[in-house]
Amino acid sequence: MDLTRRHLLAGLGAVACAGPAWTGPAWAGTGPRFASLDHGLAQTLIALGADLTAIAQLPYWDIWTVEPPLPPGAANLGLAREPNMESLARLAPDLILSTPYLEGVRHQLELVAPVESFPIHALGTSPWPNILAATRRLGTLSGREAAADRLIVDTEAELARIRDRLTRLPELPIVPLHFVDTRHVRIYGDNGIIQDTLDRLDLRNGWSGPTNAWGFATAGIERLVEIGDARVLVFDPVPPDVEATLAGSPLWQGLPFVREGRMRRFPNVAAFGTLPAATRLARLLESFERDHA
Amino acid sequence: MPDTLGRSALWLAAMAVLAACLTAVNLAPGLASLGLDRLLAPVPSDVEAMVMAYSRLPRLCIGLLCGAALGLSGTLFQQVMRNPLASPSTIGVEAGAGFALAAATLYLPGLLGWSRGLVALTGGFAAVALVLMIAGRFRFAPLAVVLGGLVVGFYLSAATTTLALLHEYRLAGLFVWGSGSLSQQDWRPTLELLPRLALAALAAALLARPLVLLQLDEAARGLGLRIALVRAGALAVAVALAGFTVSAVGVIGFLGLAAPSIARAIGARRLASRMVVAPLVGALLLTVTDQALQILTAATGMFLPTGAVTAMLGAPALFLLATRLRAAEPQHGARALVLTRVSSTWLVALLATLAVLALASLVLGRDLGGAWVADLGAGLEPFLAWRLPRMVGALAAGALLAVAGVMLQRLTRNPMASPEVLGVSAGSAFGLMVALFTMSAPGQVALTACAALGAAATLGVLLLGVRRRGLGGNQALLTGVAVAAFLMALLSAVTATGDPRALLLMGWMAGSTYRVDAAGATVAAVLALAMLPALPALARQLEHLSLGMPHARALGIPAERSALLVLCGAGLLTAAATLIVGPLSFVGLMAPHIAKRLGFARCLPQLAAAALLGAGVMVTADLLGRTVHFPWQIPAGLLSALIGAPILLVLLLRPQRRRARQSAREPIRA
Repeated sequence: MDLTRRHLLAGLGAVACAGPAWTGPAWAGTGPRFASLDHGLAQTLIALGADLTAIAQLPYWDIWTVEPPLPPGAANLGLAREPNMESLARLAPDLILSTPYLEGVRHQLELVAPVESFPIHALGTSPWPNILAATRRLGTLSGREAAADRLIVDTEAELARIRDRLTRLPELPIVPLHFVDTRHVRIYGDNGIIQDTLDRLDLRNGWSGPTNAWGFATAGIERLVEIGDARVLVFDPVPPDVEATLAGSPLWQGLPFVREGRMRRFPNVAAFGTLPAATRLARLLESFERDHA
Repeated sequence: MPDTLGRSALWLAAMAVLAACLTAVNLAPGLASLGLDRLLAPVPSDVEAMVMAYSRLPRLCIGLLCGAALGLSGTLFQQVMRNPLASPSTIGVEAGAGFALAAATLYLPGLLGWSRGLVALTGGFAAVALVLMIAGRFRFAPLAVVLGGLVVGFYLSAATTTLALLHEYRLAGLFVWGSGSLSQQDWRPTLELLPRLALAALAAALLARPLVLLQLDEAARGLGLRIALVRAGALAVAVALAGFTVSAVGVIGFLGLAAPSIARAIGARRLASRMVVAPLVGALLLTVTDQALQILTAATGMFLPTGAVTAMLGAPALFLLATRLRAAEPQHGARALVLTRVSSTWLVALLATLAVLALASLVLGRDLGGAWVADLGAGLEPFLAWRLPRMVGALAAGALLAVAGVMLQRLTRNPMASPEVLGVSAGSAFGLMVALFTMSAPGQVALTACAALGAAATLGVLLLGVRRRGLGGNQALLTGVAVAAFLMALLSAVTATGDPRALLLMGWMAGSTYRVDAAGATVAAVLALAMLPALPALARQLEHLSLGMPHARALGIPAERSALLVLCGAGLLTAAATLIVGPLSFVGLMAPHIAKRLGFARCLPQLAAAALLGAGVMVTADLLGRTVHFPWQIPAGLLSALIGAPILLVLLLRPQRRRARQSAREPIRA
């Protein structure tokens, strides 16, 4: 109890000194402690080696975000739309990282610590420039500017390396999707990091329909005929009854990518992620090229 | 009343032509270019033929089947309940089936592999049983049945929503399913549905004659007809038809209400002809909607689930029907539930309980490891900044809703009246939706302002309607219900596209007190405190008004104006409370009933006790919602419904030991 109260007072002190627009690390040496409401921002923080104290929706990390592994001891804040105020107060982070999507709870969060919001996704544009800006900003905030620059350079180098190694994959377009249920899919395209990664690997997206501001489209499975001859990436998790149902569907069995076995199931890539998600997708595609293409 | 079947046939033909035209626009080019050979034996590599044979044609067939099933189901419901507003949507069947499927998806997925249909049916039957238990208390008065059904339906949809909010990553499919997409990939769903519906239709045909006799209650009894058996049988068939449909394609909202009503309007008056015409109307309506939507999707790429769209079209139909119902509406519900009178010391006890609950919700919490802790003294200080506004906001909102509930129930003399079905809550939800989808990053102030504007606009529309058509209190309620149903459908359509902003809106609709800040809590608290001294005057007004308009006028009371004032006041209280606990708490429905069942029969004590009870339930819900599922949170509005509904049900269904004596000053009401 004493410990947390001390942290809390220290945190409040930091708020009082720095005001809402918090600009630099509070303590030289140890670096500030972050709480992140967004898995994408947390990915970059971990990649930079910053101190991630707490994260919202922690149990979903291994299903939806996967990489990089969470630091041991990170606390779960519960739902991102309503992060647990009690836990936040007891943890007393120096800064809370959020997104415009969660602007409605900012006034509560600011009772505990300053909040910085990162507009990255859902803007109806390619998120890539926003991801780079956020990476640099997180580098500044955590006092790890060099690490941030290195992360950007390394990511671009890794994508370029993988692009040069892909020889058979570029022959056909790629369609990345999730199964919503036995009759519907969510297809990723323009305005999302998955499309940005495909672009950097010189791969075409086989879905030509419109996507929403978040970078995906919801469609009935029958509309997959529109993608023609393509390779399909199915991200986990797949609802349990999908495979059995589709196995009995002549339409599904007749789709070119099913007949030719050009479909592959992958563990998930964070669709609203940051640079580590791009690297993760590129490496999965590299393994796709090795095994299947 | 005689049939005018010639007219029915004409209308049906017109609808069939429209359906055929749209189907032709949608399918004919594909069919023509394919030719019969490619279509009848499609080779897997022939993609166009495959899509036509295994997606678009089965979609056409399943649409026809589901539309017919819902039309027949609605007809049976309306006949058995002798209620033109009864339908699978208004009786809660769809919501019950939906909740059962959602719960099974999460907790017993094995059940779904065994039989989706049976799970849906069980849920549908349970919902109907609940509605009938409630309606039985009010002698199956048509409006009591429908309001009971809608409330149970909204309640179950809310419970489904909570499950979805707590497990959003596993339930994306549930959102799509709840919005009733007709999209098909093979013939199996159609072929499974066909024999089930045929069996149900056969049973319905066998029941047709007894059902007609049922209309002549006394004669039927004389003929030795087993009334209860016929009723139960027809209900079972009606629930089965709707349940099978729901398990096959999801919720096709309000078609089961619209189709039988249209059938009657175009001249099918006798039961036998309605049982033929209504399914045809249903099938054609759904086909028209679905083919039009497919054309729209092909043109724009938009994903529009058919069921949600029919619900948006059906809600205004509900409103129009309700307008016609007024003249025929009897003031039923003559059974007084008032049993005992309790002394005002009980009020003090309630007050003391509320104080203890309020204190507990300030000091109790969970530490990082999840252990329960009581934060006292200096340790409490940092936590007060949000525990206090949440607690005060919940308490005030509970009291406001409860008082609004008493006002509406007394004013309309309808026991199912409540601020939640007034539509004001739905109006503020609409304001919120507009804010979320038009602003790039709306903060707390913008969201609150838009929600308040939405509530005010709905209230204005409601009052305008009341002024124009005279004050049928139930009229206002059904207007509200129609507005709420429309907005729910709109929300469902938005959610089905997977837009994450729909989750923000759902969180608020579920009644999260998370966002309540000092300013919001202060406004609610000031309003609640200002309300206190006005209660005696309000009670007097209500006592007069509950005599009924003619009596009140005879006594020289300006009844219309004071009724309008009461309605306006109830609307304001609702709007203020809804901003804090969302539109689904049902505290405004439950608290007045619980107060009454506890013995607070007279108006002023009922107002006071309901306010204390409402506040107590909300505070408890807020405390539990914040702590039991740590570190996750359960929205207080929804939790209060989960806490309060069973209490209400037990109190309502408890065997009555003593018959109440009607006092001269306590007029008959339920």
